[in-house]
Formats: sequence, C-alpha cells, structure tokens
Amino acid sequence: MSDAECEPELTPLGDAAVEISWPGIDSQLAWERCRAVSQRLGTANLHGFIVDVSGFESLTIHYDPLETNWDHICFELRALASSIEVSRFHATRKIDVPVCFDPEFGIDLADVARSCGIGEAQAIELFLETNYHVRMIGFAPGFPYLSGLPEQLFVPRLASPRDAVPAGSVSIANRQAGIYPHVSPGGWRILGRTPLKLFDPFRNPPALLQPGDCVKFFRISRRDFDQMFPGEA
Amino acid sequence: MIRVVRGGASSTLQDLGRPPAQRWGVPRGGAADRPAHQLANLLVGNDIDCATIEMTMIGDTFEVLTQTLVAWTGADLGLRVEYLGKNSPMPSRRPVLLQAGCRILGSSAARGCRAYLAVSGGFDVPLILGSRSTELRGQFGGWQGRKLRTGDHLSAGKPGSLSQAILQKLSVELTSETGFASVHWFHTECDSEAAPQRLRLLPGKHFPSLVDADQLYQMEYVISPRSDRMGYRLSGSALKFSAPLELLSTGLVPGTLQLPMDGQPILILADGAPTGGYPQIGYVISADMGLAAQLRPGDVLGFVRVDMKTAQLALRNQAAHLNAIENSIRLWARKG
Repeated sequence: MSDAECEPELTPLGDAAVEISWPGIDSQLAWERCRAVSQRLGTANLHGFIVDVSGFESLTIHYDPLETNWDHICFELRALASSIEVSRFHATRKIDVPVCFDPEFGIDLADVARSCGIGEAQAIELFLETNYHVRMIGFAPGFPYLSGLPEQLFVPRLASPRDAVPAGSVSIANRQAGIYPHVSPGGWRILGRTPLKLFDPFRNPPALLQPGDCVKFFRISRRDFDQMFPGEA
Repeated sequence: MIRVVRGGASSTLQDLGRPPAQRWGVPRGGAADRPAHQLANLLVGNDIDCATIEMTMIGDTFEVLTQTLVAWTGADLGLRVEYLGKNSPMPSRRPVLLQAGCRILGSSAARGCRAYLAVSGGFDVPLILGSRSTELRGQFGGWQGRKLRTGDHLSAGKPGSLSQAILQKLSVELTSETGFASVHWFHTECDSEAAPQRLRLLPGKHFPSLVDADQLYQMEYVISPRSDRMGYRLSGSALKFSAPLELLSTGLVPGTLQLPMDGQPILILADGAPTGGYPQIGYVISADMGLAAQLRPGDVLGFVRVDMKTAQLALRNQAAHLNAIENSIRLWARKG
C-alpha cells in the first residue's frame, strides 16, 4: 500500500467534531483502520477528547474546543493514525443472536424471497449461514448496522417507511442488516424477530452489540421465543 | 420541593447531556439552549451541569411547597408569582427566593422558544448513562423518561455553599407581600432579544456538491411546525445537488444542516441521532446553537458563512462571559 493511501482524510463536522476516513481504499479496510484508531483512542489521552462514534466506514471524534482546537486535534490524530501498525482486524467478540421467523414476526420475509427469486426456506438458510460484522451502532440507541449480507438477499428499502417497526425486528436493506432495539419508524425489510434486548439504559454497557463484534444468527421456534420473551416488547 | 399543577406544552429535565453515550447510538441530548441553562444554574449558585427544567413555548404552573431559591432564563414565558391571592411578574435572569405556598404561573412565550428554570441544588433524579437529561424517544432519563405533567413532585439536591450564601442574602429581603425576594441586577449576556435573523455556519462536507452552493447564504427559510428537540425542518426554495448523493451512515452532530431528497434542510438539535445518512451542507457554530434553540415555528432564518477560527473563538468568548458572570455572582454573594 502506498504512503498516500495510508494518510487519512480529516473532515471537520462543525467546530467540535472531526471525521477520520480513508476514502481511497476498500470499505472493509477503511473500517478496520477506523477500528484500530478507535481502540488506540481509548488510551491515547488526546487533548479535549470526549468520545468516538463509528460510521459505516469512518470514525467521528467529538472534542471540546475549549480544551483544544482544530489545528491541534488534527495534529494529534495524524500522529496517532500514523503510529498504528497496518494489520487486519480480528473480531474479539462473537455474539450468537436467536431469531424467530414466525410469519407474525417475519413481516417482509415472503416479499423478500419473491423479489430475490428464491424460496423462503432458502432465504432463511442464506441469512443464517453468514458471519456478520457490526460496522457501527447508530440511528437509534443500540441499533447495529451489520455488514456481510449475501448478495442474493439485496433488496432496497421500503418506498414508504413504516410508522412502527416492532422491537427486536431483524431487518435488511441494500447490503446491510440491522436489528431495531425499540419500536420506531423504519424502512428496512423485516425478516424475523429476536427476543434479545439490544439496548437497556440501566445495563453496563447499555448496548448488547458494539462495533467490531462478529454476529451469527441462529433459528429458534415460536415456542422458544415466547418463553424467552413473553408478551410484547 | 415543587409540584406540577399543570404541565407546560413540553417541559423536560435537562442538563448538559450525555456526550459519551453517543457511541451507543444515544443522542447527546441536554439543554437545547446551553448558555441559558448554564446561566440559570449560575444564578442559584449551582454547578452548570445541574438539571434544570426546559420549558417549551408554554410554561408550567408549579406549586412551591417549601421555601426555594430559583432562577429562570431564556425565552420570555411571562412567568408570574402568585401568593395569597395576588400575583406579580417573576423576575427573570436573576436569583429569586420563593416563599412556601407560592405558585409559579406559566404562560405562552412572547419571544423565543425555550426557557430554563433552575433550583438551588439542581433537580434531583437518578443519573442514567451519566446524565439527568430526558431522552424522550428512548423513554429514559430526566423525569421518568417523559415530559412533566400534573401531579409530578420534584425535589432538589443538596445546595452547595454558594447556593446557601445566595439564599442567606435573599432571605433577609423576603416579605409576605409578594411571596418572593430578588435582586435589582440581572444578566443579559445569554439573551436572545429577538429571534436571530442569521446563524453563523461552517460549510458542510457536501456543500461543494450543491448546484450554485453560495446561494445557501442568500436563502431565507421559515421554521416549520414539524420541529422538535431532534431538529427543525426548514421550508424554502429547494436546494439541489449536481448529482444524487447515496451516502453511507457517518457521524452526525447537533448544528448540522442536512439536505434530504426534497431539498428542504433539517437543522439537527440536541436530540438528533449521533449518526445519519443524509448529505451535510453546513454546521451551525456551537456558539450560535443557543440562538438556534430559541427559534420557533414561523420564524425566518438565514445563514452567514464563517471559518473555523471564528467559530472556535466565538465559543471561547462565550465561555469567558459565563466565567465572568460566575465570578461576579460569587463576589456579590460573599459581600456583607
């Protein structure tokens, strides 16, 4: 990899945040570099550092402009980025997520299978056999954006989003998969539902998943689901 | 201890938010007009991150059950103090010691959008994810994760030594005439006398992709009623990109001016999600977000371009003003 490709792009998001990215390289590699920066930020003691928030293939660093300034934070970030060894990222956590494809939960499963020209059983099998990676948490508290969806399952978002997607809905759109932790409006296609609580503000940490996790879905029956998660979310 | 007799249009407990929780997809939250919130706290001798009540457009009516030191700042909600059958205007932007048995009567905002009521010791609710701010969509934090309503009983934390000193000074003036005592001075540094005409804006990362980008600084937008703590929807002539932008989700900060497909910008406020996929055409500078938070539906808004140095200097100046106010309050409180 050339030196130019190793240099990150630093973009100001207003006067109190900076986005770091590597626009010239492969999405997966760019995201891995962002993971490496995020891990290093944990111990780097950057002046004025508040928090880092992962994007799909970028990282946003929030800082306090009363403790530092734009020039200084850029200087420190470039030094940090260049001190990181270029190596592949390996997930340290693997989370197995139960999902129930009962027709009451998999509201769009039949439509998705039809759009993709395959049977429902095959759609489920394709969905389950993949190892997904959590690229970022965003949109809503605890909502994971997962990469790795098989190409045969690519479908666009709904033309009009639903007003209320049930909590725990396991969904897909374009090349991403995600899980709605809480009832909310949403335009992704719902394949099934998980009984797991993806976000609990009283838990530590509050989100079940974090960027960098490897996720594998496994199938559970409606009966198992009801036992794990009685009643509505 | 105060009791809500009638909830305002939208009153929630807020402090300076929970910035580290953005990594979990939680909005930063906190007072939409941070300088006004901070000033209210300073006026009662609190730390700036104590919880205040943020009242929106229409103020609450409160019953004051025990003698309480308060202050209110921000929009002119025409608060009045009622005591023994009489009522008088409640002084704003200065400490006010209220007698047990008063009522605070709220009405609708003559100017501005959001007012802040601070109580000495700060409103006492548990810290959730490090903050007492209310996360309305997630239904947690603040007062039981929701807006205030009739019957809610709010109590305050233990006042610090500065609070107590202010209270001492005012208690000698307390009469049974009006039910409250206050001071003759007040602070206006964090005022918005009228809704701002223009907010200072840093260019956004997708600004260069706009057709005739500089016309953004000539545009006049009207604040739509479809606005809330997540963001303001702006109505005006549609702006367009030279080519459609399909973007992956990136970080999103309060103050961001997003441009969705319909060409009508959205100005993100305190409860905006920390990530988003819409194009970002500008960022209102942090120092102007207090002014932004005082905008109301129907107000007209424009933008003026500034650079990073100007933006960060403005914030430092604002912080310096608040420090000066804090110092002057300390001096006054310690005087014999």
